[in-house]
Amino acid sequence: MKIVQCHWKNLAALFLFSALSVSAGETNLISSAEKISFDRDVRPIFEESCFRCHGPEKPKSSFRLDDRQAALKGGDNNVDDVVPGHSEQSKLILYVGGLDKETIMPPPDRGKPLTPAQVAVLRAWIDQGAVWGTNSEPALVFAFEPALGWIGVSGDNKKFRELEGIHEGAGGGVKDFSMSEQISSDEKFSVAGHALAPENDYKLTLALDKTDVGFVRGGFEEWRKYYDDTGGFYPGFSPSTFSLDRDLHLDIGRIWIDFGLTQPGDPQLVLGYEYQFRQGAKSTLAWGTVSQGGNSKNIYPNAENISEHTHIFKVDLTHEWNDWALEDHARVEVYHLGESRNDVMAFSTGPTPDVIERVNQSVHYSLGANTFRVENQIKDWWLASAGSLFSRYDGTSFFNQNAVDGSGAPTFGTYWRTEGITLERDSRVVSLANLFLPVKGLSISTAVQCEWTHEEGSGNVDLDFGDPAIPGFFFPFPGTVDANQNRTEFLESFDARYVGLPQTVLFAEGRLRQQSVGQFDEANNGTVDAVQQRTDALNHFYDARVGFTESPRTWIEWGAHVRRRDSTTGYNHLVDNSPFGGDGYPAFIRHRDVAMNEIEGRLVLRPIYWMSARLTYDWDLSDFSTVTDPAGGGVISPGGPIFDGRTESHNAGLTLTFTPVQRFYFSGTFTYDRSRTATTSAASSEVVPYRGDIFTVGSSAGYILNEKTDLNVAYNFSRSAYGQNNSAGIPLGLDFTRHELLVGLTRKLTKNLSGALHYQFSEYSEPSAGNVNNFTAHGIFATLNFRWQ
Amino acid sequence: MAQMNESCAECHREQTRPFVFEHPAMREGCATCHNPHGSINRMMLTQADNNLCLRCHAQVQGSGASGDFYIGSVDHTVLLQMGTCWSAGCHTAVHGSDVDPRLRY
Repeated sequence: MKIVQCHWKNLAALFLFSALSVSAGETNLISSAEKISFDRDVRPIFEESCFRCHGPEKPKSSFRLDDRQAALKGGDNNVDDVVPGHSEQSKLILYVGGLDKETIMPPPDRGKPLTPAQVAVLRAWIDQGAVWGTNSEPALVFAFEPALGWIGVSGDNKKFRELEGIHEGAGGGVKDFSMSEQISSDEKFSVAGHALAPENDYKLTLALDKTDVGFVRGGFEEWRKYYDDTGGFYPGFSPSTFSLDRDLHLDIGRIWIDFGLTQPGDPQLVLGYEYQFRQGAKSTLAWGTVSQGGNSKNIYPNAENISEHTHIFKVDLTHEWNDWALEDHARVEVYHLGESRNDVMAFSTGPTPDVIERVNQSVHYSLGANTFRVENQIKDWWLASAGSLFSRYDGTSFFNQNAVDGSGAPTFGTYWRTEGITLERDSRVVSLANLFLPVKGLSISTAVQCEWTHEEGSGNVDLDFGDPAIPGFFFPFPGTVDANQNRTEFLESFDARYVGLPQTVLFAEGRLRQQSVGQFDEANNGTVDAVQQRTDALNHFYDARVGFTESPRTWIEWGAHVRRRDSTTGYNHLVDNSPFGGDGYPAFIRHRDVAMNEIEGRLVLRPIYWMSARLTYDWDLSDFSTVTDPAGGGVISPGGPIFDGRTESHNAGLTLTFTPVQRFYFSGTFTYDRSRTATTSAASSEVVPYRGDIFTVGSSAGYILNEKTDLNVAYNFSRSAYGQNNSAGIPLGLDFTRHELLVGLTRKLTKNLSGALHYQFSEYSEPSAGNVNNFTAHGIFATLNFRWQ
Repeated sequence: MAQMNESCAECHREQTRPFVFEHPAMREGCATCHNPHGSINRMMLTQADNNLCLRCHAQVQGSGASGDFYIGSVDHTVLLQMGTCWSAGCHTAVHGSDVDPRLRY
């Protein structure tokens, strides 16, 4: 398992027990509080492992699992194979869990053993009443899962919060609660959610559904994302790194409500409203300059305060009319963002910074969009669809920036502000897609799309400069900014898949794009940065992939694909004026090309029924090249082709899963990544190649101790070796080692109560940050699961 | 590519809104600089150092001392020694700016 900087939505899922970064994987056994769906959760297990012998066709021992009445009746040997509400009394669990020494299901020569996670699903399903299908649920179901835990951290607790997504110290709350009531045969009310502190992780969902009439659904959710507060690291300084000493976090959430009409034969209508928010402070990578002994490095950490609010109104309409499927989705979005930050620009002797830039900016806009789609099955072998999108953006942005010293007094620097920049964007998109099935085994899909976008932005700016405290040393530079852009794109895609050969799938796919951009930029402010440019850009892009998958025997499968992408852009600079001596960048770039090649292969082996291995390998190579005009009148550069850089990466992985004995399950994954990006033609003391290796090991194991108790353990290891040693620049590559261990057990205590106890150990060391981010953590967590129906 | 940006824009509205001065790399898609599947680097950057920018911003060898770096006709040698291109006071407005064509705010 790779340690990553997760997307915030993924981090939102992190919580105390189930989402410790040690991903327990298969060892995250289903708790009895989690609602089991027969069709979703149980039927796939039965179909894979049971129905072949215990289905309607000549059931072994006269025992059937495809029908509730027959299953509860039992087979030739037992009448207690399935005892609703009592998994510990159900022979089925003893057999599939390997707890009966004489009877093991599935028999070893008939199929692979069920994993502890699958056994846990069956156990929870029986405890919840062993309901077949989805229409015979108990009238009232209630579940409640309180949680309590404690984590101790030695070292950098802020880095711990950022990586693990949780806060040290005591915590807990309600990990999961739910209540559903079948009010009548066609009416159902349900409520569910969780509430956990101190992570501010809350969720509440409410739903009232009436079959073939409509629904009302709504809810609220909020979660917290943490950020470390350290900046860069330069070993030549003392101290070599700095911290803001702030608990940086964003609280992210939303409130929503949807009203739906679902009467058969009528258009299906959904009216909805959603409010989204992000509030708090996060770190940025805009590090400030630290100066010591005549040397300056940008390593001082900075952060920004964010207050973001979005209101979304929506209308969704879908309708089936004869053979036509129609969809229309309308959205109106009203947005406001306020950002403020006090960026340290210069820090020398301390204890306070020498120069701080105070920046306040805000953006508010309204956005309207409508998409329409129609689909028709024209022939048995031909499905066609067409769609359109219209959107309109109207916004205004404000900016105010000034410079102060460590005491807050105005000092020498820039003083930039705007009273309001107008921003507009119009977009139109039309598309046409087809799916053909011309001969047996062959499917071909094609699509074309045309996009047109116009953007405009303009307003007055003040780019003042100097020290307001010194008379005559403050220089106002009022000016204007003005820009517009017209962009036209044509996109074509093609996808073919052939399954006519035995045990083989062949596929080929391609995408093409032709993009034309006409752009005008003007900054008229009386400074050397004043510029007026008009550029036409023409881009051609293609992305092609061909490959196959073959499974000649039941125990082996392999596949591979090759892929090639290329993006080529030509620039025609019609106007390039820099009236006050500026360099007019980037108007000296005439041509740019980015080419990527990829080869990927995989091999899956199942040499014996209780073991599988998956081997993967991926190679990528990307080249970046440019053609420029002469720079500096030809003195700095004569111009012409330049090879900008190359990125090459190798990735290999091995996933091993085995169940050597019925009660035991193990899954392990090992990955190795190696990449190198170099952008200088020769070795440089400022910018050295960005290269290194990443090793990861992810493993989990489960053991069914007895009919009431499961043991599980998970261990993850990550090692990144991207450390740099550039004599003139600063090392920015990441070098770290991380260990995570999670050990626990779950036990059924009574018919309606079960519990879980877990211990977690985490250790992180980061030599590339001077080891200031290192931490060691121990945690212990307990949950109880109540369920009543 | 546009579809990729649309997916990102559902949450990252500030980064994908219109700007007076747009960073043209935005047209190539968010995945040009960020790995949406995860990265060891902050902000899910594909590279943590100046190689990220220099892949496209052609640096040319200066006419002076060996190892001088020019971006266009501006000498960036000392600036590259100090830190990243997006350091405070430099090109912090990496997605676009409403006030500065050089993307400094």
